[in-house]
Amino acid sequence: MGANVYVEGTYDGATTAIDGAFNFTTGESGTVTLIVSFVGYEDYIQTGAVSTFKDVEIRFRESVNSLNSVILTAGSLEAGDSSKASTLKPLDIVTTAGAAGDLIGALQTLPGTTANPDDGRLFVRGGRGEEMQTFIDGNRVFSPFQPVTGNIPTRGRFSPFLFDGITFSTGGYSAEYGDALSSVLLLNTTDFPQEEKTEFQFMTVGAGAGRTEIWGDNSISANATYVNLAPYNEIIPQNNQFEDPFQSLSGELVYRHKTDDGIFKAYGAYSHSNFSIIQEDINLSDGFFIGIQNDNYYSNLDYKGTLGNGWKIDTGISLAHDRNEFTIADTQIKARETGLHAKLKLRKRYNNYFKINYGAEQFLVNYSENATTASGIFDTEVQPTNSGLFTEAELFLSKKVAFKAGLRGDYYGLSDQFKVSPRLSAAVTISEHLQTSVAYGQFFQQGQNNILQYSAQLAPQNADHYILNFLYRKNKRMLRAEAFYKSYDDLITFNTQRPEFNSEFTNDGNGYATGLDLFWRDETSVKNLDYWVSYSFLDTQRLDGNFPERARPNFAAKHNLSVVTKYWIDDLRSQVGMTYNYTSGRSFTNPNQSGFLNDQTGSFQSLDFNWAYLIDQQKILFFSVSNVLGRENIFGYQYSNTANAMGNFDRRAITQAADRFVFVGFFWTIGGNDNQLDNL
Amino acid sequence: MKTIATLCIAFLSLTITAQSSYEKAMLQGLELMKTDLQAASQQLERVATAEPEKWEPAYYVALCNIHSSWGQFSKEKTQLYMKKAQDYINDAATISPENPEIMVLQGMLNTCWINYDGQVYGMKLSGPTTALYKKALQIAPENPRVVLSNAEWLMGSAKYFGKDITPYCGEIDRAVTLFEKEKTTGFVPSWGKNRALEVQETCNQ
Repeated sequence: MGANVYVEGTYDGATTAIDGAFNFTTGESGTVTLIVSFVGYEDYIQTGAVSTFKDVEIRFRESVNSLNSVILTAGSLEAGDSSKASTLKPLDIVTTAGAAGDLIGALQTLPGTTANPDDGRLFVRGGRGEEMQTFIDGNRVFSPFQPVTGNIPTRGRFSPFLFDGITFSTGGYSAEYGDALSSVLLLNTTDFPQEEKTEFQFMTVGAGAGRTEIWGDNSISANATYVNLAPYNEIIPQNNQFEDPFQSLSGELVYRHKTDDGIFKAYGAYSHSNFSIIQEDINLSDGFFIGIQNDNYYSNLDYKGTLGNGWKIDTGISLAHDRNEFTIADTQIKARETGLHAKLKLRKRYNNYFKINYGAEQFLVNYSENATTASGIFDTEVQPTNSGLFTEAELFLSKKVAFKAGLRGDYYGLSDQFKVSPRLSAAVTISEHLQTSVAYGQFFQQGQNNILQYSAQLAPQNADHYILNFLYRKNKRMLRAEAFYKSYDDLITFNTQRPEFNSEFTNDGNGYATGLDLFWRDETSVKNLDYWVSYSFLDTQRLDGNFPERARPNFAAKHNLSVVTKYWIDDLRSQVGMTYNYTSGRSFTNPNQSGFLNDQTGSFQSLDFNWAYLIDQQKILFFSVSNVLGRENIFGYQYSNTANAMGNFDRRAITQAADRFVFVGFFWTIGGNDNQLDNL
Repeated sequence: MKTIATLCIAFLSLTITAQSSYEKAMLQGLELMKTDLQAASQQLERVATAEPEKWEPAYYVALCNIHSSWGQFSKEKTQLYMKKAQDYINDAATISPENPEIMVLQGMLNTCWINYDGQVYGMKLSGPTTALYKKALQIAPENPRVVLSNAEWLMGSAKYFGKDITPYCGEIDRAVTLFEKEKTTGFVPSWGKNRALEVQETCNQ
């Protein structure tokens, strides 16, 4: 198949022969433009007098595109259809057994994460849950998780169906993202919808409905979900003693408007949740009361468009308001957080080989706490700010060698500190199916609000990432191996159990995390079977928080293994999935021995099952059970404050919220009539 | 799927008695479609660049590349062809908005993507494709290619879900009748009759 050679603006041209030879005549005279084009190559364009195009020899180069070029993969895991390096597909989020439709649940089967099923957040490479920041369309989400207690795993607030591109970075991420020590989760909302539809969900735990309307260049999608666990708790025994069962009401609204050069999106979400339990306690025979009520409002305005001449603009603002009311025995704490993030990013594409980003952003947070205790009422307030500037260049030397270099400057208002963080990465193709990439970066993150409210001047904490990645891909099989080293510095410590008014805070903490992550996915060896295996080895120690000395924290188990299988049964139009998760023992402090975090629990293991049955194009029946075998997993122990007659401290095992979780859901989508598709 | 491609091409009607240079160039391209899809695509691309006001050349470039995307080439190539087809569909739709013929092409291209990787594109494109055909049918209820493509698309999913396909066979019959009545002039699309007859046969089995 030859290239297409022709004179611009005429029908005169030819297709080259196998050896590249071509020959045609044109009736044009004077100055003409000769164009040579071939699928997968850059157009060759030359203008000159007709007479000069005799015996002309043309060489042109293969275009660098997402299909054939090396990719900067170090640290980054993607779910979506945009990149060939995608580790997950969009549907994997909802069809992974054990994830129960939670975006975060599916990401927990990826390498680099440590499963903490009593918490539900993502713990990346020895980092705490709060070391991850979440962004929707480039704008910060201030409280992505619902507050929980009693080992009830939290869930992400956002419906997985709203996003069509998910990037989860376990380190070495772009200079665009600041104030995150370990990881970023980037969620991109779907673009303009193509069809009007109505959706209904009926679940054992609640019900929901949604609707998408399109008119002209505008569309609105709205959904609402009500969840109440009372009937479920009646049937399935719970390890927690609920006073008020968990219930939540949430709604999301997305408005999109297409302009000639871009798209404007407005996203708004509101949720209310509350529940209360009697928390078991080894020191109190009747336990004590914990009640949590949360109201969260989040909105995000975003515009993406082209400005011409290779420039693109992406600008947005997110505003969040979060209110928590905790009742813990006699103590009542009301916490409020209002957050604002404004951001402007410009991108200039010079050609396929060279692109530059420039950006500026501002974070403003107002956090206040009102605590009513037996000893009085305490009010605290803090207003962290962060101003950031960043620039990043992406350079392809050829389709086999790529570099990215970025620089970020952050000014932290409370501590009056300016931090500069460089970010570098490079990737090289080794052979047709194998490539390697490296990444280095410096990262800063200021303390959490609940600490800064007592000590505002604490300096931002620091982490350095070093990553080496190998990626092998061939014929729907993928092997990804990544080695990393992360050093922590300036971590915040305090000398009390929890951060308090009279705690002594320092920035003297430090630590390291190093390890190896492996990921293997195979969609082709067994017909209709798609499976992946991810294993992470993690060696980490840190001195931070209330730690008296460097130790392996309890959330950072040494070995993590996930095996996820999905089997498609065509005759039953069903996908059957199994997920097995193994996490080695966690550290805990056993007061019957000397030392800190001196003992280890048994391993955590869980086998989860799910079945998705396509009744027809519009209806899906979904059934899942977590921890099918009912294994009793122990996350840690609570020890008695006082020793017994033998001089030993008694203990109580901290176990899962429920041995199993059973979920049945029926999802029904009705396509709308009178579709108004403006563009094809 | 490959049979669809061959049949469509073989019956492009070339009854035009040419002969401005535009017509000659188009005819040459359409003639090439019978033997060499990519050479035809290139010929028609030249016409498309020279005639930025006409949607037909871009339409046929897209058609050539759709016919190259039924899985007969490597995955990488197929993706390049599908992307090219999309570019030319966009061009054609900019010149001639709300054109049901171009909507049919988009529907076919969506089917190529679903074919390419059902897990990734199945859920994403099924709904939009149904909606697209529905819209085309509203604009042109008597266009045989619209009637045929819409019926075939719905038939495919009905078969998969074990549902009765008879209602769609009625539509196929209607498409055949419409094809018989169809009179096209110039380079307006006119392919599809034989495909309709073939589908009609599976209905009668």
